[in-house]
Amino acid sequence: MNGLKARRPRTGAAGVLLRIFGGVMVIWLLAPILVVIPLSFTGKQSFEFPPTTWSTEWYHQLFTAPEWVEALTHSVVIALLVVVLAGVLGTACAIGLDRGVLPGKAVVRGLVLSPIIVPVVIVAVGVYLVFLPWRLAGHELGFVLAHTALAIPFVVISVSTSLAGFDRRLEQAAASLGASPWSTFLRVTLPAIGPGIFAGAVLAFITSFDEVVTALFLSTPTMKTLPVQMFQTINNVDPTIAAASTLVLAGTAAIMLLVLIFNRNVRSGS
Amino acid sequence: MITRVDTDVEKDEMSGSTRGAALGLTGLVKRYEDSVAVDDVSLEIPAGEFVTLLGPSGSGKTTTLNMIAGFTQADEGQIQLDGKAIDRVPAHKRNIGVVFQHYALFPHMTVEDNVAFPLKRRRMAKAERATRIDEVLDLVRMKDFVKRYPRQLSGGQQQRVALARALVFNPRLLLMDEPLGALDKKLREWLQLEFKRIHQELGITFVYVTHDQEEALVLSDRIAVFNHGKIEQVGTATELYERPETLFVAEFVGESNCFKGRYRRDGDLGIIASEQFELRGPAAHGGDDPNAVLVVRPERVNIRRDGISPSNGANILQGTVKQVIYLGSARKTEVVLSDGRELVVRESASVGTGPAAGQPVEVFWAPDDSVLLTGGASVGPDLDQLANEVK
Repeated sequence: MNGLKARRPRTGAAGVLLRIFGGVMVIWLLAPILVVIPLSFTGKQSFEFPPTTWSTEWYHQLFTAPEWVEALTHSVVIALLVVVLAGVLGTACAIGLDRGVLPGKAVVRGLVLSPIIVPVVIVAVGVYLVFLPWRLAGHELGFVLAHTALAIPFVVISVSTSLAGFDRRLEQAAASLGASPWSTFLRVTLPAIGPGIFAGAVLAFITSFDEVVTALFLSTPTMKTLPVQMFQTINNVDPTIAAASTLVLAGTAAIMLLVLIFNRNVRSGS
Repeated sequence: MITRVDTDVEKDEMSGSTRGAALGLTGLVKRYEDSVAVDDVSLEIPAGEFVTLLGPSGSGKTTTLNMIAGFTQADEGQIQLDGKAIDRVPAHKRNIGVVFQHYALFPHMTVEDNVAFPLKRRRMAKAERATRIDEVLDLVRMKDFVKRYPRQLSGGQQQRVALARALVFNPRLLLMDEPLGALDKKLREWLQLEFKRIHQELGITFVYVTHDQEEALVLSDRIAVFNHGKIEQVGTATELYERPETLFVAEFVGESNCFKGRYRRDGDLGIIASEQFELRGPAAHGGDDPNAVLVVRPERVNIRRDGISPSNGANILQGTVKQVIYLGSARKTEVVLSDGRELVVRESASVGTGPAAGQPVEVFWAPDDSVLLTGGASVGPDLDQLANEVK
C-alpha cells in the first residue's frame, strides 16, 4: 500500500516545488549546450545571440573548407581505430583480470584504470615527450595510441561488470557439450558479455572523439582532430565552430539513443 | 522411440553391446591450498548403473564429479572410462553429459538452439540434427517449447531442457550435480521419477550428486556416502540403511538411535554396556572396544502394549513419552529414557493409538534389529554441519 502511494506523482506545494527545481536544473545543464544550435544557423559572421538572420552557410563551410573536412575525417578515423583497439585490448584485459591467476592483480587493475584518475594534462605532457622522438607526435598512430590508453579503462570497467554477472558454469556446460575453449568463448562468453563490450566501445568512441588535451599536444597544422580545430578557431569569429558543435552534439545524442534502444532490446530479448 | 535411440547409439561408434560406459575411479586426490577436498577416493561403477554420491556440503562429492567431467584436474589418482584413462583428455573431448544445479542453459539461445549446440559442435547434418532434437525433446516431454527462451520456462522445464541437451549427443555417461536442488518438493519428486524412467529407457550410466538422502534412496542402484573427502561406505539403499558400517552413515542415511558404550563379545552376540544400560546386538567384526556404538532404527523399536510384547532376549528400556508427532502415514513417539537419554520410535499410524505424552512406557527391540559399530567406525558426523545441510 505504502509502496503504491509513494509511486504516485506528488501533488501539493512540495510537488510543485520539485517540478520547478527539476525544470531549472534541466535548463541550467542543457542551455549552454543548446545555445550552439541556433548559433550555427546564423546569417552573419558573428556570435551575436540570438541570431537575427539565418543561413546554412556554416554547415556548408564545415563540409567543404579543407581544414574542417580534414579535422572531421581525422577525428572519425582515429575514434573508429580507438574503438577497435581499446575494445579488443580492454576486453582481453577485463577477462584476464577476471580469470587470470597472476599475482598482483589489484596492482595491474589500478595501473590500467589510472588514466581516469591521473590529470589528463599530465598524461598529455608525458605522451608528448615520449612520442616526439618516436615521431609519433603529429602522426595519426600517435593519436590512436594515446586515445586508446585513455579509452581502455572505460572498456575494462564496462566488460568487468558484465563478467561479474556471468555464470562460469555456462562455460563448463559448453565444454561438456563438446565445445573447445575458443568455440566456447565465441558462442557462449562473447554473446553474454556483448552488451558490456558494446557499451565500452561507445564510451571509447566518445572518449576519443571529444578528447582535446592530448590531441592539442600531438597536433600539427596539418594533423589535427575536430576538437583541436574548434579550439584553435575560437579566437577568430567563425560560426563554423557552432555548426561543428551541433554536429558533435547530434552525433553523441544519436549514439546514446542507439545504446538505449540496444539495451532495451537485449533486456526484452527480441 | 527406444529402438530409435539404440540404432543411433550404435551408429555413433559406441563399442560393444552395452549402452552405458563403465567408470573407474582409483585413488583420486584433490588438494586446495590448506585443505584436502577429495582424499583417496576409489569407486568402480559398472556400465548402466545409477550411482549417487551422497554427502554433506564440503564432503568432496561435487569435486569428484568435476574431476570426472574434466572441469577440475585431480592431483593424484586415475579416472577410467571403459578401462581407458581419461585424465589427460580435456573436458570438451570426454563425451560425458553433465546436468548442473542451476541448469546452465545458454540464455541467448532458444530451447532448440540449446539442444542443437552439442550436435553442431559435432558437425551433424541438419536433417539428422532435427530428428535427434525431436527425439530427445520427446524423451523429456518438452517438445512444445522448442522456440522458447530459457527465461520463458519454469525451473523444472529448464532442467528438463538441460537434461535433453546433455543427452542429445548420446553420451554413455551422464553426470548430474544436485539437479533438483533449486526446485520445490512436489516438482522434485516428479522429476526423480522422470530421471529413473529416462535411466531405464536409455540404459546409460548415471552418476548423481546430492546431499538429500531421501533422493539418493529413491533414485540409486548404489550409493557412495561421502564425508570429509572420503567414501565412508558404498552400497545399495537397503545395505546402507540396514547395515551401516559407520556411525556417520547410520546418522546421515535415515534416522537412528545410538547408544555409546563398551563392547565385548558374548557368544554369537555382542554386548554394549555403560553405567546406565547393557544392550545386546549382533556380534561386531573386531574385538573388545571401549568406544563402540549400538544403532537401532526408530521403526525397529516397539512400545509395549496389549498384543505387542518383547520376545526372549530383547533389549528392554523404561521411559516416559515426551511427545507424539503425527506424520500422516506414521507416528513418531519421542521417549525420555530413565537415564535422561532420548529415543525415537516410529510406528505405522494404523497401529492402534499410541501412549500419550507423560505416560510411562516400556520400549524394546530384538538384538538382530540393531547394528553394532566398533573400531574407527564409531566416529559420528559433525552435527553442526548436518544441521546446516539437512533442511
